[in-house]
Amino acid sequence: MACGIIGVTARKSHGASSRIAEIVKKGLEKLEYRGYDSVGVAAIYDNKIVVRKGKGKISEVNRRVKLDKVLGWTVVGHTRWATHGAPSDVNAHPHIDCNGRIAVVHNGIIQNYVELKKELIAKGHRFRSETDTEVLAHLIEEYLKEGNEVFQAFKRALRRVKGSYAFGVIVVDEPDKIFFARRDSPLVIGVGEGMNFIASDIPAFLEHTRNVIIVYDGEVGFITSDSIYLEDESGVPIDVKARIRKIDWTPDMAKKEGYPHFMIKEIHEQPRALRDTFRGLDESVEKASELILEARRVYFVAAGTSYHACLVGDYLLNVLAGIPSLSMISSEYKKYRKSIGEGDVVIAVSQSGETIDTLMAIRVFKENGARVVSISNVVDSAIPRESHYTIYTRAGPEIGVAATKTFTTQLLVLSWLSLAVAEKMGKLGKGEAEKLRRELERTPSLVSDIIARYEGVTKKLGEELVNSSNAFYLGRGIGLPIAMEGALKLKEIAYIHAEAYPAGESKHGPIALVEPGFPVIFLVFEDEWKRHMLGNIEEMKARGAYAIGVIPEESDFIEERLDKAIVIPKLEPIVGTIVYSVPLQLIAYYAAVAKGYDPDKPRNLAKTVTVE
Amino acid sequence: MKGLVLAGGKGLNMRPLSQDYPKVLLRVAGKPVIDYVLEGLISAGVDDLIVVVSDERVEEHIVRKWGMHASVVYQEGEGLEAAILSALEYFENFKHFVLAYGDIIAPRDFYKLILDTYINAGENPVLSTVPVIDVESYGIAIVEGNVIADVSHEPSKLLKKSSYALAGAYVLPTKLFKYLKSDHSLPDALSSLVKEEKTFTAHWTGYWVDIGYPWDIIAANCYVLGNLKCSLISSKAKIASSAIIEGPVIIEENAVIDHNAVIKGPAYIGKGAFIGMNTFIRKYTSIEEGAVVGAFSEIKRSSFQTESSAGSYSLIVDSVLGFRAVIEPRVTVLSALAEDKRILRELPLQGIIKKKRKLGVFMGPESRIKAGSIIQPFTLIDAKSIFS
Repeated sequence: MACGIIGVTARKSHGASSRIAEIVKKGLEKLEYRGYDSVGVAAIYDNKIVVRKGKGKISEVNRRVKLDKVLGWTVVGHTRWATHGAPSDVNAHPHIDCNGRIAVVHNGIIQNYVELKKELIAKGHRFRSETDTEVLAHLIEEYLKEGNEVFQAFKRALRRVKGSYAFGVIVVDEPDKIFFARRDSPLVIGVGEGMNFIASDIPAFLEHTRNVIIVYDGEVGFITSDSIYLEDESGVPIDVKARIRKIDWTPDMAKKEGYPHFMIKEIHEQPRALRDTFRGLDESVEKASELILEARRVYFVAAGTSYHACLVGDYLLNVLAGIPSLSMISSEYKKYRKSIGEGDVVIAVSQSGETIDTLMAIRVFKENGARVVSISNVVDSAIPRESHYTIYTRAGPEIGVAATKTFTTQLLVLSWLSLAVAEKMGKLGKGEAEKLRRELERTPSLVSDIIARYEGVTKKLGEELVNSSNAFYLGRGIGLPIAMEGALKLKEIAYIHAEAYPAGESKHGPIALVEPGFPVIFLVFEDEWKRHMLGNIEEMKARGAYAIGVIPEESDFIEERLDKAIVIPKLEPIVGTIVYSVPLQLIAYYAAVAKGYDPDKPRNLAKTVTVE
Repeated sequence: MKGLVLAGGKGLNMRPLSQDYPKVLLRVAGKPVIDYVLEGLISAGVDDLIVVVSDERVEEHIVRKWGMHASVVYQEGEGLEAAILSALEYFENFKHFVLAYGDIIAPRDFYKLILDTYINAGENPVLSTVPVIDVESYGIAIVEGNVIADVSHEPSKLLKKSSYALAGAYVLPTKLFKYLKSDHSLPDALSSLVKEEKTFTAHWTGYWVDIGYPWDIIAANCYVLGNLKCSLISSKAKIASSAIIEGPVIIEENAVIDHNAVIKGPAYIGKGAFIGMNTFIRKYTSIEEGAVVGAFSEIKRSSFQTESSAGSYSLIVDSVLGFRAVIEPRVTVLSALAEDKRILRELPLQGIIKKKRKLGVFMGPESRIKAGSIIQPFTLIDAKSIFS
């Protein structure tokens, strides 16, 4: 999974003895996009290794343990993103051997760490953390004991390890060196003046040097302040000079993996995010569903995009399980201060787990005696910590301010949860629930197909919307929250005023605004409302609206009434919510790009809202 | 990094604009098409370039303007494959090289993204891709995550699975030459390459036009002019005090804007171009170097290539006038396409109330339209011919 590593070693003439730690801390900030739930550094000073690390964002941990005040000229650092197992001070990198003479930072997964750990424990090694990484420190220690040179011991240790890695290792015996190796996880070397670097990504050191060597899979080596040694898998030294590249572009582009913006990268990551979320679903779903079953009443609370996810969860609980529930926007929670309490269950949805309004709301409801289930993307963040149960989306870090992959994974979790509840209520037969679950399991490949097939059309549509200053999104039933989310996306990144309405409500007012050329986006699901939607399309067309539809296959009678149609496979509505969201994200993205805006940094918005 | 630029194509689909006129020298908002490619590559650090040409006019242009960074090689034989092999000797000793088509209009960031992806992907090969409608008119890429799974130029194989066109700039291993030498077509060679070596996509989402059809010049003008952030008016342009200029425009030196002319940008008026009295130049129009628009005319979303001209009292919309093409006075061009007319690579829709698909007239070099003609939508006029 995504973590970031960095290592810097420099001549002692480089100023104060905490100067390198400062550079490492700044580099870690540049790598924070790779993960930000725990962070740490290790340095060699006075023949000792000093480790400072902790759980939390870099700025918080730095406030606690002063990462940037560590002394020494050879320093490694790590920023972590936990997917399985909670982030904690102990599990944060760097990890050290028994005697604290070796420190390791690692990005990747050691698959055979359980066996290795057993073997090492049998030999008397004492482990401190639950991580896979720690075994490498002990392995090196073991081979050093056998009398190997450090580099030799490092290479022998690597031979024992199966899995993916980019390692950075420091050892007290050779205090001027940082050893490194790469397999399947990114690693680059920065070639500076009396100061050399290793890092997961170029921006980490770009401030100090633009001369870069890309480390290839299987290569290992070490850096000192003035030299770089690199050899290939078979131990043949590599001509380092010939491999140096000069980087003359903006550092910001580097971490986007071939995409111009994080938002489009994250849209494309949705199949993987959905798949990982499936795999991560655990007994917390079961426990949450039991809470809901026993509940007097069920409420949903969230803000922004997460609120739209709540509306879907709310809809499914009502329709599938027959449980009346209610969604609220978290900043409006005070309305329910007296009414929600003992016996009630509150489901809080927050990508960051830190949304302040949502946090305040659950605190009040909890105090009143309500039980809290949360859905979050950040393991052990504030809202999960204060909840009775948490179900995690496994979307990975989301950098774009506009939520995309975290929204669709929230929908997946809420759908899964609703099915569990409906099944336990006896409202859904076992077979039926199972069938819908199989359908949900298809979402990664469905989403992947939809992106590949329709990105061209949505780009064109986005470009067409550029000349409009308004748009409507209309849907019915479970399509309504998806319409609301589509409208929010268009507003927040393309700055086009967009409103969503229940399609049946439009003639009670909004239709008055429609004039020739006014874009209206219809979400037509394969459900009982399909025919009704046709009527809504007709009434908008009659007023000259530019009608765009996302519609199911075999709906020619609808397609021929539309100006533009995105025709997707016939889907169960519970699956449709996830799939229909994707073209709407793309339309908004391309409208923003065509208008020349940066979709990753919409004006006036922050990723995580931590002020009331 | 070393780059190979293909600029020797005949541009068959580009006729009549490319009849006896090199496609890559056609102008978009003041610059030949090839300049967009070379500028982009050089700004991304690909500054050692070999340009494959088949026309002396292109050679002359490259040497004069890009001599610092580019040398010219003449194409031996027909087709893309032959074009690439013509430059073989310059690349043999390298591991990777950049291959770029000389007829792509995209911002510089497009090329930056490709080089950036290359470095960031651990120096693996990179193919640029771009989402399009009408994917059947391009090479198609199948992408899984950010890795290219397959490429093809046979739409039937991959259509409906992908809307990603190969975007015409790649970082490739030099073993490509080996494949081409053993009679692989370029698509087949690419298809083999991506199966052998992990190849990443540089997924471009900004504007991008492959200049393949005459109306692609209009689309390119729309994008390039649409991205003008400010006006640039030469102090050496002669602009009548009564002329009205709105919106972003570029007006080059020695251009003449006569009395009561109205220019509503974004628009481009080239060196020494002439805009007659009371003439109305509307959005997305480029009047290139030395071109002339007579008095009392209206021009919308059109490109006047170098030294072309239109007489007075004409209406010219959604059209391209090739090199030295002439429209005599009182000509009207119609452009609204019939509903059932199917055309590849449609232009952005236009019209405020009824959004309509539109294409006007496309005139080959030195062709002529007789005075008083009414030209039906989507008319192609051969080079040097006279239309009446």
